[in-house]
This record gives sequence, C-alpha cells and structure tokens, in this order.
Amino acid sequence: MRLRGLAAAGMVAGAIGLAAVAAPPAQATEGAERITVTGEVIDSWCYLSEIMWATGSAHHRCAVWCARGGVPVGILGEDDEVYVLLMLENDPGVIGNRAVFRMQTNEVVVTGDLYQRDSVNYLAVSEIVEDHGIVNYSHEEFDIQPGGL
Amino acid sequence: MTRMPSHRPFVRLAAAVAFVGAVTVSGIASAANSWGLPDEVEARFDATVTDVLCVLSGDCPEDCGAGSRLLGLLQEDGTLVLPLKNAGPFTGPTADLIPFCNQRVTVDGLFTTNYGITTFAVQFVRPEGGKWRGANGFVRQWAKERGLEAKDKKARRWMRNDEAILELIEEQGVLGLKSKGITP
Repeated sequence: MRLRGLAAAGMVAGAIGLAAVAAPPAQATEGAERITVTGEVIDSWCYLSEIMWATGSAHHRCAVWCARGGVPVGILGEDDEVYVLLMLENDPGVIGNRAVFRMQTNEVVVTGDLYQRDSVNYLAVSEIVEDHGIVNYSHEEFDIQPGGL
Repeated sequence: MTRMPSHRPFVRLAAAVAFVGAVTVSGIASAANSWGLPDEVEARFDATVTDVLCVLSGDCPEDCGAGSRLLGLLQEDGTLVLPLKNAGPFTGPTADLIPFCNQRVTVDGLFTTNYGITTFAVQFVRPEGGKWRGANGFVRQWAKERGLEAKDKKARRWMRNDEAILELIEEQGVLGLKSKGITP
C-alpha cells in the first residue's frame, strides 16, 4: 500500500508538473509562514489512509462525497506534502463548504499562511491565484474509485 | 526562497514517530475496530474538542465555528490531534465533536501515520461524565434533517442521495470532466 501511495504521489507530481514556488514577502500572521503552493485539491483521508486510489479524475466523485461529508480537504503539493485546508480565501468555514467541494481534484495555485503542528501542515489560504481545473486524468488507468459507477 | 523538501520527509517521519509516542493514551483498552490503516494504532484518550484555527492563530469564536471550522483534539500536554474521519461512510468527525466544543471528551479510534503525518479516526466519543456514542453524527444529522432514521437505506447511502452532491455531479460529471466532454 505504501508503495502504491508513493507511486501515486510521484505520478501526480510528474503528470501535472507541480511546482511549489517562492514565498512572497512575509505578511503571515504570528506563528505562520506565508507560502505559495501549487498542487491538487484532494480528500485528505482517502489519500493518507490509502484505502483506494485517491487522486485525479478517478477519485473525483469520492472526493466530492467526502468534502460534503465533512472530511477535511487538503492540497497535495509538488513537494509531496499534504497541506490541510484551514481557511479558503480567508473564510474559516471550510467544513462542508460548497466552494471547497466544488474545487475538489482541481490543480490550483494558492497563497496562504502555513502552520506546522504535531506532524500536520495546516494552510490558511488567503488567495486562489490560479485554478487550472482537473488536469490529472487518472481514470484512464484506475477507472472510478471506489467501485466503478 | 524556494521550499526545499528534500530532507523534510525524514524529519517529518521522525517527528511523526515522536508524536505518536507523545500522545497520551489512557490505560483502558481501546474498543476500536481495526481498519488496516498504515501504521495503525488503536487508542483511547482524553482531549478537549477545539477549533484548530483558534489553537494556531488565536481566532477563537465561542462556538468553535458551529460546525463549519476544522476541529482538533487538544490533549492536556498541548499535543494537537487532527481527527480526519468518523465511523460513518465518507464522513468526517465534525458532527460528532461540535456538541462538545471546548469540552473534555474521551475518544476511541485509530491513529494512522503515513507520509510522516499522524491523524486520527474517531469511532466512539464520550463526553465527560456521559455515555459512549458511536461516531456517526453526520449520517444521523443528515437523516434527521430529512425526516429519516439513520438506519434508513437512503441515509446509509446518503452520498448517493444528497441534493448538493447530485447537483454538482450533474454539473461536473462523475470524473469532473463533463465540461471537457469526458464522461464514463
């Protein structure tokens, strides 16, 4: 399972050419680091638990289900790090938020404040700089996760 | 400044191992059911239900965001546990925890560590002085809002019956690529 997960991360990074870029001048809140992250919006649980193929179009519907169901959403960055969404465009209401689950699976470029605590990266997104839509066509290899239509 | 991740996975792994070691787990055996998760550890522990943004930034509404914000489990020693999942299908733990905002609870479930990140799946929750309850709050709430019992088939398959999901999948398609003419 771990190898599959690592392969998934590598495939995603390679397939969509992700790039974490330089941090702009720090205007982060105290205790945070202002960063820019490019990556795929993911369901954090399915990805971290590896219970199924959890990136790209193959997993889009499941990612929508989970976001609607209140599972925290993340961004899988170019550095293979998972950034758990803490705010979206300065709105802390990220649980079950339609704006959040509408973005599932999209490749986005975001800026925000990074907090690191007890092994987890938390990202308070202040701005969605770019939204490229879905660019990871994983359904071509993995069909629909979980369990087809 | 470009982020330099090359050494970080090792640092993160070590941090995660240390984190699991630091989590204060009660001496009472966990009743959690194994899900076969990566580096799974069954655990029962006490914590305060907290608004994660509050802990990290000091922005602290009294109601922890009334179910809209990311919730955490803050242990007495300051360890912040991130619960990602509850016991329901495709659902998170917010509905199970928000009734106990800023209150002490005992939770029972599974730690999992992967990619150096440790998170928790809540299977049961007990408020201080209260009774254990299965962590299936989202489905219970979803069913109640529609005049159903949680055991109703429609509620158990809530994700295939939820109005907001049906609307979005109709618009985007199962693959999310309908606008590009790609459908299963």
